[in-house]
Amino acid sequence: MTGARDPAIDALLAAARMQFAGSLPAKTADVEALVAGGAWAEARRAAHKLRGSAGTYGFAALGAAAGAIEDTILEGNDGPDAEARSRIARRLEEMRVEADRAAREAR
Amino acid sequence: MSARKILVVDDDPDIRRMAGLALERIGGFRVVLAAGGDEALAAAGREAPDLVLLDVSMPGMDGPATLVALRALQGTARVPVVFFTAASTEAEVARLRALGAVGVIPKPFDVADLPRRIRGILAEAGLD
Repeated sequence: MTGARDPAIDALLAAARMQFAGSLPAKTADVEALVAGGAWAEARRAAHKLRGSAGTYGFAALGAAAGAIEDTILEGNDGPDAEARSRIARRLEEMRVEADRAAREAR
Repeated sequence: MSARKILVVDDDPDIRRMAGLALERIGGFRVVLAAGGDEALAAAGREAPDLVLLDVSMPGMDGPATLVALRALQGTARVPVVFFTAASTEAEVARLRALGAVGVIPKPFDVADLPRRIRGILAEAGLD
C-alpha cells in the first residue's frame, strides 16, 4: 500500500491493516478446519477470499499460499488426492507461519 | 460537479472495507457498499451509482448474474460495471469483457492505485 500521502489516510489504512493482521490466525484456522473436515468447496471458497484480501492488505505471501490451496482444490474433481493433500498441508503451514508473524507484528 | 458515486459489491467485508477506504478517502468518491448481488440490485436502484465495482465470485447471485440483472433494470441498464476478480487470466478477462464489463481489476489490488484506475475507466466512459 503506497502513495497515500495524507497522514490521516495513512493512519486509517494502517489501522485497517493491523486489524486484518490480527484476524489472520483465525482465518487460517478456518481454512485448516475446512480442509481437515474434507469440506472442499467451502475450503476453496475460504482460500479464494484470502487470496484476494491478504495481498490487498499487504500480506502477499499468505495470499499466494491461499491461492495455491484454491488452485490445488480446483485440480481434483472428486476432491484432492493424497499428493494434492500433501501440497495443501505444506501451504497451510506457510499460511500459519505468515499469519502468526502478521498477528505478532500487529500487537 | 459533485463527486462520482461508486457502488462496491463484494461478499468479503475485508475487501469492501479497503476498497471503500481507497475510493472514498484517497479518491474522493462517494461510496456505497453491498455484500451480494441482491443487495447490489437494491442499492443500484436506490443510489443510481455512476459505476459499479463488482466481485465475480460471490455466493448466491454471482458477479456475472448481477451484471445481467443490472442490465435488465431500466435505471441501471447503462451503468458501467467493472469486475473485481482473483482469477484474472487472459481468458477470464476476455470472458468478463464479453459480458459487457468496461474494466477488470485483479485482486489483490493496489489500494493507492485503485482510485486512479477507476478514474481512468470513468474517463473512458465519458464520465470524468
